[in-house]
Amino acid sequence: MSDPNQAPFEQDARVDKPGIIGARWWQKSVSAVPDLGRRDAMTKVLLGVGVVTAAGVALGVASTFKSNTPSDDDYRVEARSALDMQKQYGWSFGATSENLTFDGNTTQPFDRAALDRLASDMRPARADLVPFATPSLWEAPRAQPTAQPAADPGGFTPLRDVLRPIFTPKMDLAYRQGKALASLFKGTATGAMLVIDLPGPESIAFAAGAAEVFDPVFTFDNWPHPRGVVPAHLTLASASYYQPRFVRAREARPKNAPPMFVLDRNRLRPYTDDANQFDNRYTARLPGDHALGPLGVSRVLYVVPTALDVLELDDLNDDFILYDAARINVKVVPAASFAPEADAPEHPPLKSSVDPADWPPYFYGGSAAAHPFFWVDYPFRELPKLAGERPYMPVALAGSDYVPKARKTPFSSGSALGLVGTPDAGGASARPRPSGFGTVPVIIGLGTGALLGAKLSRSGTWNRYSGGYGGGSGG
Amino acid sequence: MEHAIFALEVCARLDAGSPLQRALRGLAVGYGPRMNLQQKWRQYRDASSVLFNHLSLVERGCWDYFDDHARAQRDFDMWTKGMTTEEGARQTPSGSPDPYRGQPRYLTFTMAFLLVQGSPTDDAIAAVCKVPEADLWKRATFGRLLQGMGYLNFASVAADVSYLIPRDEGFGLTAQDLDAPKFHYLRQVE
Repeated sequence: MSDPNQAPFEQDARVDKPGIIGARWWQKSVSAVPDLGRRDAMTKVLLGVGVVTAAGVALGVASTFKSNTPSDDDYRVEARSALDMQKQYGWSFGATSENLTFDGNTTQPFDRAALDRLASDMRPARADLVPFATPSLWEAPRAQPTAQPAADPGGFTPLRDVLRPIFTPKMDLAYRQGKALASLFKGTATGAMLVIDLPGPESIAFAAGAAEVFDPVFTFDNWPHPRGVVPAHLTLASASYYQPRFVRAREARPKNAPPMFVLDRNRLRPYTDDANQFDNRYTARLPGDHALGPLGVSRVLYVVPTALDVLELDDLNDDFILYDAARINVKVVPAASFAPEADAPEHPPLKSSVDPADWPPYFYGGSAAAHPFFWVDYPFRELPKLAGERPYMPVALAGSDYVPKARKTPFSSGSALGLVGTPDAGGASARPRPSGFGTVPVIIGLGTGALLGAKLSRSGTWNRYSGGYGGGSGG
Repeated sequence: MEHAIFALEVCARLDAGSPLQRALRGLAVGYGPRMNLQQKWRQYRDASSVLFNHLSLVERGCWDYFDDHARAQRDFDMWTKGMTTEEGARQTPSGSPDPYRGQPRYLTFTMAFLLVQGSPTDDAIAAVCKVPEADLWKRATFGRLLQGMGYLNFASVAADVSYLIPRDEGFGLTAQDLDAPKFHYLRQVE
């Protein structure tokens, strides 16, 4: 039996039944067992008004530690790869007690065990596309930390335990738009490769709509974080919603289906505050121009949200310049080019072949009559027989006349034709990156070289090795 | 020795196979008949962390801080009776909910601490509990309180009680259960 002085809390009441489980504990050295009177009715009284200050909280912490805490000069700050830190110390590194916020609800039953199959379910079916896929995001739900920061133990909750699927109106819209685009390419060999560049959840949805025609290659190279600049948890939540759909589509898809690269348009979101934000940004990786021919690709169709987004994101500029130089035709199509008929009835007609879940159908240009005119604007194949003149199209169209133009940005060289950097295994050349991009500042102890924790909104000293806040030295 | 009390109860949605319920079940009775200070801290650090990570599931709750000794003793007794009388617990199973008919089930988790009045822990918890009246029942406030539980130094905790309703998933509380007057102290979390 342990020394009561070392284990001063003693359990003196316990309930353990199907309806309730719990216990009460006393530390007799600092209390007397109270006189147990009659139970009062549970009425709650509001506290007095007061304003909380961060100083008040910090003071409470500082007062539990004595004068042997070393000074702030005993550590240095270093920038480390955010993803590497998350893989080593957990997805919520530096913010283990903070929550993720999920927008959008779904009433569909959710099989949490399916998250364990996410990496395999989302892998391209074509073996020659696998080297270009980035499985990072799919690995996050199951990942466990391999180490613990020396002075910031915190707790760890696996991401799979807090993840929940989402379904939003924007995702539904993107799904239908993807389905509409794919319907044009079904059974038609055009040599076209899609590059879908919408916000993460919508990119997933668009790809789910197009997955019976195109083989998805996901490129999400980051993990979620409670303070992440990129809301990757929403992309993951969207993927968990559509996961069964991707599995079914793989079965229905031809074996030599053309590829569609799926990107998260939020990957380069602005980042300004390393005290409160976690830089989980990354850049897209597409195959090099020399790799597209063996994949059967001679055209690239870049899918953007609206007609206002025709310019590609900065990290794709060098790739598109090289594609153009290699005579790989690059065009842009807004997802918003696909819309339902303005006067579509609320429910499908009785004899309609359209699945009620997919009603109303979406079309290029917003009408069934305009739909085949896609091939007029994007002559990727021989023109089909068109009935009548081009109808009025109520949606804004743009991008069919897009031509890549080199520009110098923090993410593009402005001189891609000089072949900046060296090709990597995926066939893409190295690209410029801003200093500190995708890194997180961490605290390193000067004496030990140990990583103490993330420098995220921390006050107080960094040399509390005793087990965290209020743990006490008697443990 | 005079005491203060800090207590928190949350009512959260209980989904089938809930990792929240599973985690709290293991934490509600601690690690053995005797525990040291570090173990007590870890017990409630883990409980508050898992609740924080599932804050989106919390629909109702209540919390208190009083630094009046008599009130603290009386209220701690009240929270304890909530466990020993099993007042809030179902005596019969409620069965598994039908997700297509919107029949949710709920759990409650209660924690109450008798603190040494005037100790650094008491001061720290009192500071965490200084919340403007307009924010008392906001979800962010519950998050703040759960995060603040990391400041509990059990050298200054005279007693604590924690309990989970239900232990078994099949005894989850129904919406009708929560409509009973005995649960009217639980506020809607905004």
